Amino acid sequence: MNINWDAAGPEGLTFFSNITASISHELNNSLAIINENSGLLEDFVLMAEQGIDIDPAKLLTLSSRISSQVQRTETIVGNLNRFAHSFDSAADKNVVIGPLLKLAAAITARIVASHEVTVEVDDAGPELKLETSPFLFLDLVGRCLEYAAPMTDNEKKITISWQQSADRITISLAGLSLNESHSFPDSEGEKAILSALGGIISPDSGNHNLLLTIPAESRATKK
Amino acid sequence: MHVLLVDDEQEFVSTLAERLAFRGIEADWVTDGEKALKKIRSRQYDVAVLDIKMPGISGIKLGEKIHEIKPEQKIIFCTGHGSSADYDAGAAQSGKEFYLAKPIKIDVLIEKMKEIQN
Repeated sequence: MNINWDAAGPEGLTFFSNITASISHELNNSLAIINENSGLLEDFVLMAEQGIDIDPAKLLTLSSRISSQVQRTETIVGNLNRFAHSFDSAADKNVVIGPLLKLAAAITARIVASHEVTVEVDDAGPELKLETSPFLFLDLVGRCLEYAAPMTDNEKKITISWQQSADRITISLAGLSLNESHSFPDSEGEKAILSALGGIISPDSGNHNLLLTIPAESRATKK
Repeated sequence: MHVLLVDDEQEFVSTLAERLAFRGIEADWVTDGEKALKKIRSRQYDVAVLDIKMPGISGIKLGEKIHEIKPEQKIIFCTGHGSSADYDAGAAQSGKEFYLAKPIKIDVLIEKMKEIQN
């Protein structure tokens, strides 16, 4: 791939580090809930041993809570696994854009939530395939979300949608009130990642949307 | 002992409160910093247990705001980091704070609560 790794490499490692740290927090939160619920189950057993009647419905509730946290953990681990495999190969891959955007939203959810912001991916977009590096794509979209999160409107929700015109795909982050004094991309590494994907980032005319436009077939692949 | 638990994971904090109640510790719980500050203003707590990573006001910032209102308030921070070791130096400096890594062992939490109270 035609990437300036001297500039993009450290940025990519930073992104990988931030995301895996954030996901480990999520896993620990889920484990903490499982731990408390299983601890409460033990408390009920001890109480039963002392002759105190325990409502079976309470036990069912605890069991159901543990089961739901196990499912949550499975989803988190699944996302982590997909993220880890996004850099299996330096070569570009033919990827479907919708699921990749959903993965970007999922792995950055906790970082974005620190601004009390949620992210929704609009499923109405066309099923498009993109020839690109999944890791760099996730990195770029993740950075766009991090950049936009402090500048949402009152609803505090970013909606991601996409559309294709000619040979370009435009990804829109809506629900913003962008402040022009903040520039993005800022660092040489971010610029190198954007350049590798052949992307352009710009606000719309009303500063309510951040638009990421990339070729349907990335520049790096063509070379 | 009367404690305040603050964590954005409602299921975690409510269940922990229930377990503490079984052990004779009265625990109020809230899921964000603003509600926590209202609680702190409204009554006296022996210990406040704060999650560090929360939307809005982070646990660290919340701890600072609590100390502006009640400088002597004892605080235990919880972290989803794999280890609380990173925070030990800071905790040792303040004398008013402890750090625990999630998942929390309830006996360790109670021990820390008693320790910080004294």
